[in-house]
Amino acid sequence: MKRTQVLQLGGIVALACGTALCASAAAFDEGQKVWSKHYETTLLAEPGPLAGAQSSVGFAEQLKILEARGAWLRVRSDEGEGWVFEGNVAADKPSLPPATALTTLYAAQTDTVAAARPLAPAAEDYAARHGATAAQADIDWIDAETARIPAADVVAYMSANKKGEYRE
Amino acid sequence: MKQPALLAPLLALFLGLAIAHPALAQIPGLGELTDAIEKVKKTADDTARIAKGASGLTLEEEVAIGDAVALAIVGRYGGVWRDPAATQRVNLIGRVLARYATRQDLEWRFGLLDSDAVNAFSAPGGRVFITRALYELAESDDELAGVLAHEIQHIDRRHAVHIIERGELLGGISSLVADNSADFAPYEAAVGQVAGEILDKGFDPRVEYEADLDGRALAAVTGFAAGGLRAVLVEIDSLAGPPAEVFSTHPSTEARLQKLPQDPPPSPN
Repeated sequence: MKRTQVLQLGGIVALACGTALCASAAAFDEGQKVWSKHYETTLLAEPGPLAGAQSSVGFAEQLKILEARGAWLRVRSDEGEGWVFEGNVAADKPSLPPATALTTLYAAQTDTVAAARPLAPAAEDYAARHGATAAQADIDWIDAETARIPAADVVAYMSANKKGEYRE
Repeated sequence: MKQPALLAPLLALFLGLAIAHPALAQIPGLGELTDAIEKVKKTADDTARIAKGASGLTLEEEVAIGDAVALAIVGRYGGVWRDPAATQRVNLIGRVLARYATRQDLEWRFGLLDSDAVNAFSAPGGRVFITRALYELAESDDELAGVLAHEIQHIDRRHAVHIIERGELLGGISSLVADNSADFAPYEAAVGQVAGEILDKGFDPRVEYEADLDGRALAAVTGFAAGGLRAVLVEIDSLAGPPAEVFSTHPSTEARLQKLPQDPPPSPN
């Protein structure tokens, strides 16, 4: 999926979790139906993070598990078959909150420009009304520190520490 | 009945132009009429927002409230502990966990509070905090992940947001966040309600136990030890002289340990 398509999709779809509907992790069985929970989920040719892409599915698409191998699932979608890491699917269909302009901006950028967002304007006004300028400066500091960690560093941590798709 | 049907959109068009165009608004008496219409329109918008409560706050509203709640958390717990290395560590671990949360519409941020109390908090919209004392107590990335995953689940499952949605404040919040209202009261009330729940009262114990179990699952699927949170709670329980405040806004560590599976403690880093 092209980036522009992701952006468009981000405008339409604001992901959110219904109360107990969206399990973050579960043991999945063959034959079970699960749902994609990311804006784009790549179905891979092999069970592993470095495998080539077979196809991709969008948000909240139903997938049928054909095979489970460790933390990896071979699934079938309308677009085809492929392997997906179990952390990238949910046991129940994710729900959608009302979309906003903010969603359009954030959805596609979560991974690439994380933590670029400052305090919301309403919260800045709140800080001024409550004399919370020190707390505001503290949160600005956290945001600046967080922004210094690119998505590549997160993936490097995962690879070095065998987390997520890099689990053994 | 055809004439009224035709007149209605024309009248709406005219009044719409009058509102949008200052020159038309100068027509005697029209100013008061447009003011009245604006008030009706705003009330209708707010009513629609309240009716929308079933479907929930928008992301923008959630973030606006959550950011103010974050200010309250930081203010209450001694400000932020500005340690770049420790902040980077909790953000790396937190962001790895958040990749597998269901809510990918959020920008997750993780911060440390300069406090000797042992506690952790989450604000709607994706801001997570743990205290310096808790950070220092957690001996490994697995233990930190256990604590952070619990807080991530509060946000992922919108526990605090549901508090607001159960109330009748949505209309006013929407207007303020949309920047077309100077009435802070509903927004202040919502922030106060959530901050009170998080900082004073604490979530319902059932919600906390759910976050414990879901956080354990999130940590495990991410590849951290499933017993990370359990190890932290055991450690707290075994302290000879416990800190003045230990998870004061959570159920007792004993009760939480009873509900968690008997996972083995993680290996030290």
